[in-house]
Amino acid sequence: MILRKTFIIILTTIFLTGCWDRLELTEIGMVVAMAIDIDSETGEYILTSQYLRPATESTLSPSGDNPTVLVSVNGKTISDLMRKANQEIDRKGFYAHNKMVIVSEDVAKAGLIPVLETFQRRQEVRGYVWLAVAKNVKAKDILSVEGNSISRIPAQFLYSLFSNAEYNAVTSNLLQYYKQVLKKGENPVTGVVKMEEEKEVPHDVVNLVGGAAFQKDKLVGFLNEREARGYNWLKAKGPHFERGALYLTSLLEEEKLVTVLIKDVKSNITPIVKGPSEISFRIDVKQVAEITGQQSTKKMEKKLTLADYLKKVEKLAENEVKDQVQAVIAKAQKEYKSDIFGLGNTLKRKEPETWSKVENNWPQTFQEVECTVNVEVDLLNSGLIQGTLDPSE
Amino acid sequence: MRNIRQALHNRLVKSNHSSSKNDDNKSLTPSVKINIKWLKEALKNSADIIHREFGIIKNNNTDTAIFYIDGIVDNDYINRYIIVPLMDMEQKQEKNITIDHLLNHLLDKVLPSSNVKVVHNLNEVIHGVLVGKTVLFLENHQSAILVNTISYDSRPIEEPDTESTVRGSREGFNEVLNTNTSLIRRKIVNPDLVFEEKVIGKQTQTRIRIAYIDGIVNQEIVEEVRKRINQIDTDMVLESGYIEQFIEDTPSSLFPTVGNSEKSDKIAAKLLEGRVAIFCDGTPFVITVPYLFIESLQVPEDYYSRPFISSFVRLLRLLALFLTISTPGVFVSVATYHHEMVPTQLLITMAAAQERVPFPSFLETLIMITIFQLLREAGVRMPRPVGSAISIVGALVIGEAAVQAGLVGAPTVIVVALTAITGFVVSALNNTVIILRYVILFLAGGLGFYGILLGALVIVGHLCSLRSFGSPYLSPFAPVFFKEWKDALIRMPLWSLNKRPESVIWEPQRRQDDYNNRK
Repeated sequence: MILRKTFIIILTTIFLTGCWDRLELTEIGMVVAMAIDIDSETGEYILTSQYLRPATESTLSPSGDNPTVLVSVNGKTISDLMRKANQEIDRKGFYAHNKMVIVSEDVAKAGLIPVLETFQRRQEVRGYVWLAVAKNVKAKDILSVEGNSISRIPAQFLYSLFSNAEYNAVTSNLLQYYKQVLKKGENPVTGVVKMEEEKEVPHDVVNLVGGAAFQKDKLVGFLNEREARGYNWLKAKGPHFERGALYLTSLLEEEKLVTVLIKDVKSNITPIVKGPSEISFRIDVKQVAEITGQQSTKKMEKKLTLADYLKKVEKLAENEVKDQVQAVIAKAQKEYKSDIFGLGNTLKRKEPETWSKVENNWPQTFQEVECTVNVEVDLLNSGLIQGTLDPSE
Repeated sequence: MRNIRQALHNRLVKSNHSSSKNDDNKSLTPSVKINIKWLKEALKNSADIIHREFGIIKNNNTDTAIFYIDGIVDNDYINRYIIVPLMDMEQKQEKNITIDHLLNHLLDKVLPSSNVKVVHNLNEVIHGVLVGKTVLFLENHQSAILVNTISYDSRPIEEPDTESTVRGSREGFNEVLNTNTSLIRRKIVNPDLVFEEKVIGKQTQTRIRIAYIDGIVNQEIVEEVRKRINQIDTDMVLESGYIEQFIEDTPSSLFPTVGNSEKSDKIAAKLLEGRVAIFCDGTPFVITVPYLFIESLQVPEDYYSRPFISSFVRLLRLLALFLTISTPGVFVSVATYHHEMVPTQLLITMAAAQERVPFPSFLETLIMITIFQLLREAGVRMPRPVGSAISIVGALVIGEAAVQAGLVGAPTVIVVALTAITGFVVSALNNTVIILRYVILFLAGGLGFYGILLGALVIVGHLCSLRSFGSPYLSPFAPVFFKEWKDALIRMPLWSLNKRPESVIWEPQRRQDDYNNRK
């Protein structure tokens, strides 16, 4: 009896469970980047997948082929296209190590949810995949561009571009996009990749600058470098976010500049409700910075002068940051009419009663809400040089 | 068919019967000649028998005889201390000695040996002669004198090959029981150190000694050891491994529940922890019980070097144990099921190496670890002079040549190498991990990580169910003896190890006073 029970337990543990989808490494085709375009004539989607050729990466005897293969298929749905691609390449598509999803402007304008929904449903493409809109160029072309790439694999190049991004570019992955697009009172912003034809280097250059603002899941416009910076500061959640260098006029000499490196940024949005229709927001941005460059060579006589000077630079930086944050708020309110900062969401969390009143009308309400921006810049130090370097004879 | 079986059975019963008849306690006769004749018959006139008759009473030619087996006695000793004193007797013959008082006279005045014994029946004589004693028959006496002349060649005390050490005693046991126990006597000067001698093996009549320290050991364990050893009914005990397999708790388990060592310091330490050691004549390997799982991860050197490195190395051994069992399995399941679980760069490297390999990962790994086992076995059994050939060929077979030939991927070679190295680290469990490695590999090949987890579950469950002479195999972890964790996976300084292991002795005992109470 016990023997029979044991036998049944062993059989069930082995036959009713387990990972039956056994695939050898030589059977899978690792997809490292995907690009989605729309065929302007037929309206069909074009899915371009970048497959890896592992043999080219061999340390013993690398084959001289191109390390990647691009496969393009077109059809009505993305889910169908992922299967269809298997018919055009000798490996089974394997999407778990995908790094990038790039969509063209047209796809983004038509709405991204129909495109990205299948990724979340089947979990074949992970949430931690960078999502970007290709500006002024076919998404497909981004994948084949050589760029200033040290890595042999274009997807790896793009991935590193996103990982190293500084505060003048928005980076967002699929998971963040899903969150923002599904949340009430917030609209998503994603990264933007652009291709620039360079005259000096013999190949095209891809760069990551600015951001793409969405309304619901549809693209409404782009943020430029300055606006992306403001957006990043406004959304900064904690220390070590969104570093970058910011230059200001030197104050010591005409036409000379002083550069501060923004180290830690933290921002806080507080809704202020005075009456049923009097909603305003206070946005506090706290930054820690340090001076990393001073073009001026004017000698500072006293330590006190230096302290005063640093105070002045702090003030200057505060104004500059405030300008940039206000600029992006104005653009979102007036031009894109899209709450990309999640102000509505903050209201929902902190003042749920007020939110329930304005909820249905939020897109209109957002355009009129008043936002006061308070910026506090804390200059931590001036590097290893106290004042200025004073060239002498 | 049935008739044949019946006939065979009858014959067996008969032969048993007749042999038992021979074993009857036959008393010796007063006649030297007849005694010698019986003895010769009993030993089937074997070629190595030597006997000599001579007279020691005046005018008597054959009133005495000595008898021994050549080769297992000390000839020099016999000549010098038995024959010479006997022959001298005739010359300085004292008048009043008659043949009837001869026995006592010999014992009192003539034989200078410290170990003499008077025996009365033939069986005792036969046994004595067989182990290398010399028997002295006397006319008119129904008894004989056995003089201990046992001597045989033995290996000197050397450093054991199996357990080499950087720091610590290099003294290993040899094949002689008395030498082995003497090594322990020298280390533990304590009247409570007890050696109980038993003879087991119907044909081999192997002497074994159960050693323990009275006052430390739990007497119930000693009693259990005695009971199990008394139950052994076998023809031969050629090595302590025979005893081990007869007395272990779970013979069907892959894990050893009896420990062994050929280092005297290790055995002494185990005795001092309240364990029981069993010495067996003819082998340098001494077995100890109870044996806990954690002992496989400990070596004497852990106590000789300072606690920091000892603790670190013990943890390394635990890591090595996990690695040596699971590395091939994990590699195969990652390469065939869970491609998404490794970093991209690693997967690319793995895929690149696998690209031109003709076998599936599972088969490739299976082949490679089997080849490694073959090489290992060959290396162990090869005569020393050809041993170097094996290492050259081995390096080719599971090395770069195999990768260059495109038969295996480079990662597989590394996996096998890692498995091998870590396997040597936990050498006490080597025999176990070899089998477990295959089990895990098959589970991984069929079920992926799920299979590995399933296997781990079964192994841990099985370990929890094992016992060794009353001690739970996984103690001090299951059940928890928290105080013993000081000397389990890590080793605390010696001055803090105040208590003897309770998981072995089953009662609180102190080695030393608490540090704060010391003067």
